[in-house]
Amino acid sequence: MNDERSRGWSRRHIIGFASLAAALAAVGLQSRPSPVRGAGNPESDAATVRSTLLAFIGALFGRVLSPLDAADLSERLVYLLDFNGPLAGDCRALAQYLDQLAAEHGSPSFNQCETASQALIVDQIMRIDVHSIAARLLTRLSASHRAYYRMRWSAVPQLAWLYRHSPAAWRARGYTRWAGVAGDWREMLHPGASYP
Amino acid sequence: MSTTRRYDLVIVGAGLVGGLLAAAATRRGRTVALVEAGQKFQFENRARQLKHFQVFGGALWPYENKERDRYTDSSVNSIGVPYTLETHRMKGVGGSTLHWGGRINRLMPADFSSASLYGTGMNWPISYADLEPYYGNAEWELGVSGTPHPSHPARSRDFPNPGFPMSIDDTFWVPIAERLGATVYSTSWAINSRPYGGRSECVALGACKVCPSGARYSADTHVAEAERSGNCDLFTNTVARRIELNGDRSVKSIQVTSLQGEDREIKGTHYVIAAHAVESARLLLLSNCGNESDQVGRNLMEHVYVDAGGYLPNKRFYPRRGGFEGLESLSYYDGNDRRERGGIKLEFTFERDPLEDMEGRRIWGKAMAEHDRENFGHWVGLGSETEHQPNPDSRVSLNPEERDLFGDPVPHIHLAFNDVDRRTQRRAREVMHEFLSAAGVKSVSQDPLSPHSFASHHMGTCRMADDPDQGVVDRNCRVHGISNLYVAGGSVFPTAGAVQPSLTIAALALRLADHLLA
Repeated sequence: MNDERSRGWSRRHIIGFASLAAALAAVGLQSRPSPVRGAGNPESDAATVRSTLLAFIGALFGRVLSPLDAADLSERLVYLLDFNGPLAGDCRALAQYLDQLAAEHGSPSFNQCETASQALIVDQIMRIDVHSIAARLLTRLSASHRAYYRMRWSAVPQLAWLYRHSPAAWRARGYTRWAGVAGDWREMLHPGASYP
Repeated sequence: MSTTRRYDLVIVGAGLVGGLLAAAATRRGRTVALVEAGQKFQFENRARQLKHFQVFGGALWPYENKERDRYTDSSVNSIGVPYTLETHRMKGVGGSTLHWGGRINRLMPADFSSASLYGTGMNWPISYADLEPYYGNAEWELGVSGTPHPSHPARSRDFPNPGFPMSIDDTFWVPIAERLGATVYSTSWAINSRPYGGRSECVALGACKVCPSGARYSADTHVAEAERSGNCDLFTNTVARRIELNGDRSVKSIQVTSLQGEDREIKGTHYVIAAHAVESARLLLLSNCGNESDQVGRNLMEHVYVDAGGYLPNKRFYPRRGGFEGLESLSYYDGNDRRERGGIKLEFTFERDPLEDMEGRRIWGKAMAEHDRENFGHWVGLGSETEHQPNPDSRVSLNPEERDLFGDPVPHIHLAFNDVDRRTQRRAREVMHEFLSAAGVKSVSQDPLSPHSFASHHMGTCRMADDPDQGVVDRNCRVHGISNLYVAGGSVFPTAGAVQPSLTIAALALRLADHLLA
């Protein structure tokens, strides 16, 4: 009977699904981050988060940020972290995870890591596959996995946007003026600067 | 609570139409009530909006009140990609002109009679010639900077401001267009190329999503003018919820509620609903007004923006120095195949940022820096504004399951495309490929339809037709069967054409002002 068959398939399907979920969870639990909540002064924590994220942005784009770049980006990071609660949470989770990975490389924090170690950590972050079946399942199963994957698909693209629209990105290209700085529209009639 | 004042004109919506109408009415000594669901933003607020955009990638304006603005759409089911209404419009004094691009065009004369000429769309009950004087007046109200070009439809009045010339990058396309038998021209902008209307000339902030200098026109300037007259009462954060009718099929009042929960009844001689194509239709549906022929909300149109581009390693461009790009072509708007497809307007761009390739190409770190160095300033691209045909299945309706802050059904958006639309988009891709190949691009990338493929131009939900069975308003924008109720804005367009709708919206508003205030 069709009904019998569909019930049988359904049961097997459920069992298979549960087994797969359990296996994925086991794998995921091994690889998931265990975010550590800082217990110190909130202001110094915020500064730590910002400096870690700044270092991450620099490493993400293969740049050594100048003090001016860092100041511009830092100002935007303050706005980002203050404005959007969930996104700020994702960014803090990312900062904590970066520092955890830095510890595995023998460094007290990500921004004190060697450049080569930073590059390896960035690579590790960027290779997190948020579209895999495991990611989708684990995101539904546990809050810590949700935080882990959100860190990659929420915080990283947002930080990349922030950098692309910052003076830091345009200075690197030889521009002396960028969005938000007044000039003369007639500039567009002449060639601009070369890439340094 | 009822206001004791009875106004000559009650306008719902303080955007482009509301601002122009209110200014026109108060200039003629009439009294106006202007009802706006959103708030009034101080000019200084723009600096914060800019910062928000630079950090988050979207204006803050549309998201000021999430409780008020919860909407659903079914476009994933109908066209395969989601359509998030709040990213495509703006509630507040000034409406969507607070965060528009400022690119401005007249519809082509053929757009007014596409059914007769091509067998597609439908004819407008008015012609280009009827609207032409108002197009000129609208350009002067908005302060358009433009240069006349043979591609443009005939005009009887000069632009108020000289056009922005082609940038050094734009000139790249001129010989290529010539080789392909096409012509290009400098875009007209509602951005001051010189001080005009009490606003500065463009200072090239490169921040056109917000325009902190005010060089780009925004309708809050006309609202402010109306308010200064002393004859305009502006009700902000106040949502029009019902149109009340008398027994003789005239409007008795507009029922509104403030965000603080205060109910009010506003009365006038004439009533104009200018609340954007979605909300205007929604208000008529909520009020059971003008929908005898089941036309309200139908024929929702949006311009689909199809784009393509590629890198040219041996050619250097200098993007993002003026903040806006200024080259267009109307050579593919009409053509021998126009019976098979809709209009296409080409726009040219150099602005693709190689840093955006991070996720798509999976490059980061030093490789990303190298990719940027190799490719920045080498991108050439095109975008096509494509016509969306009127389609009764593409519509705004009332969502029976979701309610707004006041308990009223939210609008349900259902976009639908037909075969003509798909052929239009396909033809646009072919044309862009021809241009890019002629430019020497070896690898052309074409973006698929995505949530970013829309131009935020909502039209058609209360369309204009002489026959009450075919539309909602008559040629004077009066709702069929109701003596003193009018709808204005993109909602009355019978067809969308393939150009930005703002100037036509403004021209229709000025024409309506003449009709109501003569």
